[in-house]
Amino acid sequence: MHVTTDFPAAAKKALADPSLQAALARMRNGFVTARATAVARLPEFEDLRDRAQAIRDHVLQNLDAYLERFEANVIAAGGQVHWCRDAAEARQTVLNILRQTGAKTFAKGKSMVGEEIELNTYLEANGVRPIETDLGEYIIQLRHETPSHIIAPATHVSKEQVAEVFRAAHGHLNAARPLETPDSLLAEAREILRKEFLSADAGMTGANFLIAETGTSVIVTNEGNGDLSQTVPKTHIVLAGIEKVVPTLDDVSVLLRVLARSATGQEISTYTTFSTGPKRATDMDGPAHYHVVLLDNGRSALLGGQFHDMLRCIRCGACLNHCPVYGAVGGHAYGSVYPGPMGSVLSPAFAGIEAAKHLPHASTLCGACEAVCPVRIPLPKMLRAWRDISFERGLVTQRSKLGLALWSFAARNPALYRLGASVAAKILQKPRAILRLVPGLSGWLATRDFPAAQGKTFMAQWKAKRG
Amino acid sequence: MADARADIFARLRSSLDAGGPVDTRRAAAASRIAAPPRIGLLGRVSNVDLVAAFKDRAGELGVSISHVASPNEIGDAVANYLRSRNLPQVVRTSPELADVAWPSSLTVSSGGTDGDDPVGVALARAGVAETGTVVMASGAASPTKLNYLPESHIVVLSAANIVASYEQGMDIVRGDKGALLPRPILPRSVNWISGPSRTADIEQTILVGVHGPKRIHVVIVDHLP
Repeated sequence: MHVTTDFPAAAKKALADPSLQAALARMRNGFVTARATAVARLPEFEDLRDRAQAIRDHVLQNLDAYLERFEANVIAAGGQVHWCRDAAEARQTVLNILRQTGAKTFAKGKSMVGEEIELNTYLEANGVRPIETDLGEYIIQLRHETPSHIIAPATHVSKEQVAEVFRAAHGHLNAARPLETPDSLLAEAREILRKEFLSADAGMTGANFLIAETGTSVIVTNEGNGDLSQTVPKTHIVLAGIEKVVPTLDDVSVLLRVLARSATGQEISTYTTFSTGPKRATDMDGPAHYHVVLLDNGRSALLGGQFHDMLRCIRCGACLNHCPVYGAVGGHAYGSVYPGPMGSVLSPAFAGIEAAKHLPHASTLCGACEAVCPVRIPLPKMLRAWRDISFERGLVTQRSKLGLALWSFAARNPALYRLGASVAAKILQKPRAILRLVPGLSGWLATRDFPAAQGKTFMAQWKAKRG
Repeated sequence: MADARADIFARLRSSLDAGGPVDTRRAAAASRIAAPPRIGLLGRVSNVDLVAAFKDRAGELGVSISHVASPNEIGDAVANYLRSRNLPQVVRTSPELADVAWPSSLTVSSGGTDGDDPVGVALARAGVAETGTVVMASGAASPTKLNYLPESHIVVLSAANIVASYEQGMDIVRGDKGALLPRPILPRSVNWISGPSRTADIEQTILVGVHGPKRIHVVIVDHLP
């Protein structure tokens, strides 16, 4: 997985992009309000969050045992399981399966693991045409972009931009056709993608859950694209991280009750689909081949360490939706397919802290993410842990190092510290005017305000009060 | 890649073994699977009329409903629905519904679909009152594509199979009420469907009818054998 960005520069660019800002405003209002409404309608919601967390904790404590069970049950149902240590092995495995069946076209349901391993680029280079079938993923595939949100990949794109890319990609259609409304765009996408579903040689889905008890993969979608991708073609490939396993069907029911409510604010997604093995001999339809490709890619290394709890994540996107930083700059500024708070914890783990050194700092640590996380992942604590690691490895800027050195020198000399504080308390009565004069701080002040000081330090006021 | 599998398990165990031996974990997994802990019913479906609750929730999802007393009335309910929406009187039905008495006004064929049928009619295994969800399952007389390819989807649901929770709905699919071991393998596809196909991928505007059906109608039947 690549992390490509300089977050401060990308954030600045994002803040100055009016089209992106309009899109982000729509997203902030939509998801946050919808979740609040759904939660208010379900008095059991907090209890269900506790249960969801307990299920995920139990799985992680017994992860190897549940993976063994899952594998055995997939095989018992006539499917195959493939284990992949890293992204390269997973890409190769998918390609091998496609080559064995002679597949040239590949209908894909939305998969964040597919994005993580950069599958499309690899398949295209090896003679297979991948077709993203989730409408949002289709739009960004045509735009040659990565997703900007883990459940709403094209949330940064305006309808005018969708129309533009449809006109460019669907050149065989009448150039004069109207594409002003979302409805007209939808109708065109339906027609184009319907043909792809019906002719694709193989199909892929991700997995929201893998059930150990039954050897079943589960996906939730609203469009039905994942269902067509896995039911019409003759091969169904499931691509999932090893942490996705859960014990039983009953456990999945609990997790599903918190997933959609946390994600889009729906009570449940339109389609929840349980797939177990290939079609049976007497079945009227369904795929003849069923493969599950399981990916480690850094997950096992998190187990038992300080980022262990991150493996509970069910990829709902609530932490993105409620994050003030994500809401201000959008997903692309993070430069990783996993943006927002969950991404700022995962990206350094998957791509290395050197590559993702900005991301743990792309947060105000306000705690909104943890407050809404359906499995109560302590995201701010983990972002702080990554900050500690990046400091220990010397990955902070020269300016921060200098500031911290000055502060620690003063802190060890109380008289000097008090003198400094009393001077600061005086001059910071007009903070913006004064701080602008300090070299290097004008940029900081361009996007932030600073509270006016009261003129005297706390120590001085305390002394005066006690007399 | 047998070595990849071995490597991944070795990595997992290098951390998990600190908490005890693998046999303890296998025993923990086996006992949870043998007796899955089941949570109580949500308040919204405890001590309520489940058929009424199902209708309310399904209605919120944009599902229309007709409710008939006997199987003899299914055909008319389907024809009336199609007429009321000005839809073609041409239906493709799941073979499970072969015995239904279809009115002569309808053009009826039975079987799977490859996408050319405007209306699909299928039989649900269960209805879940909790969210107004219908539960479909693949089988020898039950094609999955019929639930996805036609623009209009009509679901026949026995009132006796309307249950409170997802867990109870899956018990019906498994046919074992959660009691017997070993349980049968699940059908290849079990599809919970909660309203028509939709998306909010273009500017967060909710649009109905993306890849799957644009509309869903449920015919609840009181006395379905």
